[in-house]
Amino acid sequence: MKLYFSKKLLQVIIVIFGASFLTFTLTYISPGDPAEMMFRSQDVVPSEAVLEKTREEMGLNNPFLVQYGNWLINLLKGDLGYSYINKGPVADVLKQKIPKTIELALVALLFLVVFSFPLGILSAIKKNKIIDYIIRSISLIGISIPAFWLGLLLLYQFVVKFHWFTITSQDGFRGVILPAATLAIPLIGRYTRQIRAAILEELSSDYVMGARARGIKESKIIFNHVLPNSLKGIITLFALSIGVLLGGTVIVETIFSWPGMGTMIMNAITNRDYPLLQAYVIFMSFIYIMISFTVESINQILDPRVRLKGEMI
Amino acid sequence: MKSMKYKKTTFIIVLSIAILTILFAIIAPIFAPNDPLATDFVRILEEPSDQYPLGTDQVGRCICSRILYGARVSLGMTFLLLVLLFILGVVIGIVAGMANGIVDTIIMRASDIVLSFPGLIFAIAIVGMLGPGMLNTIIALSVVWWTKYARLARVLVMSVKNSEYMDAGKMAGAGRLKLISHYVLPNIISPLIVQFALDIGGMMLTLSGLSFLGLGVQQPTPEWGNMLSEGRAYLQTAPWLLIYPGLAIFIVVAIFNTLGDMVRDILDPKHV
Amino acid sequence: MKKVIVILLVIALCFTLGACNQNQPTDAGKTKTLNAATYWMSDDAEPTKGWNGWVVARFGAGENLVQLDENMRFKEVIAESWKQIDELTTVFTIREGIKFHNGNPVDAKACKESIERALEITDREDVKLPIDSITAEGQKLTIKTSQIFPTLINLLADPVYIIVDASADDGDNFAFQPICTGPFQITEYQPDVGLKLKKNENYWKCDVDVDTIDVKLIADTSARAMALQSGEVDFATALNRKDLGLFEGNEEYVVQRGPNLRVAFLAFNMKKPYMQNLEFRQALTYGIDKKTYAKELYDATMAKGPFNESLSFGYKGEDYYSYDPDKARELLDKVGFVDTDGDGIREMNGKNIVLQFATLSHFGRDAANTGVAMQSQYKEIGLGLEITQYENLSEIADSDKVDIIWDRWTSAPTADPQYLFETAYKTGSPANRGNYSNKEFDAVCEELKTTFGKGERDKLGIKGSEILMKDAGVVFLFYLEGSVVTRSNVEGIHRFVSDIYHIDERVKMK
Repeated sequence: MKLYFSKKLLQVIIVIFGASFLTFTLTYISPGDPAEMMFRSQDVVPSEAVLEKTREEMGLNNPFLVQYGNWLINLLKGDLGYSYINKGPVADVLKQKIPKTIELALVALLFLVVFSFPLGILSAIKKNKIIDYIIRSISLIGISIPAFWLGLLLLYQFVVKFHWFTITSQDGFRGVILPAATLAIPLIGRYTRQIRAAILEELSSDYVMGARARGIKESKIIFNHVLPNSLKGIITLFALSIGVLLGGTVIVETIFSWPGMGTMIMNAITNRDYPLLQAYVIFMSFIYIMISFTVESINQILDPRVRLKGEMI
Repeated sequence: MKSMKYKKTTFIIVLSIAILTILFAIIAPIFAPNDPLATDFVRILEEPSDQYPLGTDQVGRCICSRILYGARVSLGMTFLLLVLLFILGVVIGIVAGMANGIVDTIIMRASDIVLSFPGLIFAIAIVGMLGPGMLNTIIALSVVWWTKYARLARVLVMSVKNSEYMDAGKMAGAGRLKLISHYVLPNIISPLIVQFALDIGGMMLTLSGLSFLGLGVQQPTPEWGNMLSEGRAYLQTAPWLLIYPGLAIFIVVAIFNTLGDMVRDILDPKHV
Repeated sequence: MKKVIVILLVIALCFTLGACNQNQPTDAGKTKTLNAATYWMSDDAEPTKGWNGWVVARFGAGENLVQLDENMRFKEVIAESWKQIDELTTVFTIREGIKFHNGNPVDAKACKESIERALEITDREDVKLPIDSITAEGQKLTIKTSQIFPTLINLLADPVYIIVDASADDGDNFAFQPICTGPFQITEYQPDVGLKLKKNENYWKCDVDVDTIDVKLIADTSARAMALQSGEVDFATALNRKDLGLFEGNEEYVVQRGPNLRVAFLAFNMKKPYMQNLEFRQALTYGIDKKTYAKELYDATMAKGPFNESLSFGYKGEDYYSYDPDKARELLDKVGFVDTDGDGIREMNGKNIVLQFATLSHFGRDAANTGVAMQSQYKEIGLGLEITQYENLSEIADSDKVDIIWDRWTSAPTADPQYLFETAYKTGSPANRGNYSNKEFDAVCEELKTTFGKGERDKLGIKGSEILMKDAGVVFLFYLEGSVVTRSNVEGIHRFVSDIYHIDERVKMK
């Protein structure tokens, strides 16, 4: 087990290192000129001579690897660079934006769990009954509807027409429901299907047949055995969905003017604020990697099948 | 079984609808009532009418024609990208699966790294850095998603590689290429096709999402995602700018998602 | 597992209830709170940094010695009066009894310190003053410039010179809660969320009716309209042209709209040899139906010169070259660009003319739409046009690829023509992206540097505009429109042409 973890940890470090290299390379080959960007952020139109001098000062004339090395050292020191559009350290900007995106993602995750589990289970138990068809149709709609379109329609209906929710996010509960729902709905569609599939697979396994033959109550089979067994697969899927969820925040935040990292990144892209972009990719990769790492570790520790054997007999 | 026959019929229906959609996109110019790029200043943001069946946009272009031409762009890009990923992935996967040792390790480590990124975010960042545009979008999504097919192909190759069936091939004196084309490919192709079919809808959504963010297809080329992005400002005053392109995406994606499910049911019956 | 689901549901329920509780209105009856939406916020509220002072000015926190009112006329604010005693010296009398938000009295010394502080901190070239000396005696402030400087008063009205209590600058919190003299005081400033202000109990002019202002940052234009509709805000500015229709004619709202100071224009790239030909430029200008663009595409006022007509130095005569495709064709034939191969596009030296239309991507759709419109109109006179959005200014400035540049500028933030002339059209000026150069025009710029008297300067402004228009080096397209929408329970909010101010002491709530 120890070996497993140290091996995994090493892998995590390599991957983060790779992420940083890739991110930096991309910025390096991208067409924008950071020196000019800096001036433009201050609404100054510099002359070529001034630009050249600034490039020299900013180390932009150094060889690629030197630039990368400097950047990496600063990164390790916690210095993420200077954001042109926010006219301040990138770290300060992230500090403001991260909680907002996490808030949105957590509420969406809550919706996801609250809706996809019951729907998926119900759909599996009532396989090929009318309720199964309804749930499957709903999940097909969920995975096929463009989130950006759905978000705009929800916005119009619930904010403009019904006044149920607010546009501004400061209002706590009333501000977060719609964006979180928009973020969650496509995922709910996906998870309902996957949970259904996972449970059906368990249901067709031998031990369930056996349990049924012995006259154990169906609900007991489901809640005591089928669900715990399919949990491992579901948790792994969940970890993978974090990537989709995080990616989704960009679109959802744009639609709802949510002041998190998604709007930040779009702003950074339009204004070519590369330090902010770099920090964003590094941070998101880090989160994602840590989540996958945690989930894998949890699965490794609690392999439900081992425990189950003892119970069954 | 009755349900098997029923399944086949519905599959044929859905498949025909999907093929019709593609055909429709290809011959869109025949149906388009107007030039999708022509502007008509005196008829800006007009409601649907005889001349403009789905209304006009903020510079007086025909929405109906733009949706029809947009189908070519949306579907075209989706298939181009998926075919590219498919070929790339299968080639890499077969190379990794057939070759042992160092080549396999390198490919697998590279794909490990790519897999450890949150895909969409990385794609957004790549396009953001390289600059928005159709080509950069395709590059970004290829970088992020080649591993999906490569890994699948590799696993499949591994599973047939040491089978008796392959040994028979080897004994028959088949060369490496012949071995791959005659013995490996036929055995691994159907799960890959299932994956391909399942990915069409999602890929369309991703591409139009990137265009919606202003990263993918650029103006004035009509594409459903960027039409929605343009129409956003007129949500209340000219909703037809939003409703029709959104519906178009929704319906087409739903068709291909259904098709994907059915292809899986048929080619991969073990799946529940 | 059942338990887990039950627990999850309970958590969800708690979450919902908890959030609802937060939402209870707090003593709505007692305090009058104005909810406002803003489209832009600076990274802090330090008026001397960049354009940050605009936010301080917009919501009535900061005041200058003199300011421009909603119609761009000077009004005395902290200075009761001012007098120019010779070419270099101006004396201001500071109003008695004004107090800073912290209770400190405002006298000439405080104003001197505030202006000196601004001069020291600001990095904006366009607001620099050539100061020889500033002297303060009681309520008398004397500013002596080192050279003849006719725009002193104009620049002192810029938000950079908002009078702050320089002695209260602790170097920390001051940038977020600056101590000024306005009817409202900033109590909270979050660059990506909004700002909160409370009424200044000791305001010098009158008692302020509204107790607190809660300003929310809503950058998206259509979202601002929705926030007004949903009742989240009582006041919003710069709405989408079409969205204004949702509020006009609705009793619950008051809409104020009209041209503001921003002007959109096209600059021809004079580096190109063919652009040096006046008749060719005239043909290009005749081929643009800017009247229709302004009306149909932008719902804005068509521009003639750089300054809109409501300004005293705005050109008020007839436009020089109105849309006339026949004349354009005639001129193109005359300069020898004809279509010889019959493909509908004229040739120059045997090659089809395809002009390159360039905009910066941050100008967004409006800029590109002009290009889309021109594409079809230029086709009619036999010219090709391609549109490219560039990321960087330098790509346009250095590029030989570009023929026509779409640009946008705030024409006269200080109610004077000199600023725009010197920044955008004078030979060699930093933002002269079309490399325009005209001796006659440069002479006007020189003259503006030393000419006193509003009447004289206005004449020069008009003269310069006419030169630009006649020479067809720049095509002024339209004046952008400003809009202010308030709920009918709010009174006393005016639309400032400058767009620098939104709320002042006149605001009242029913």
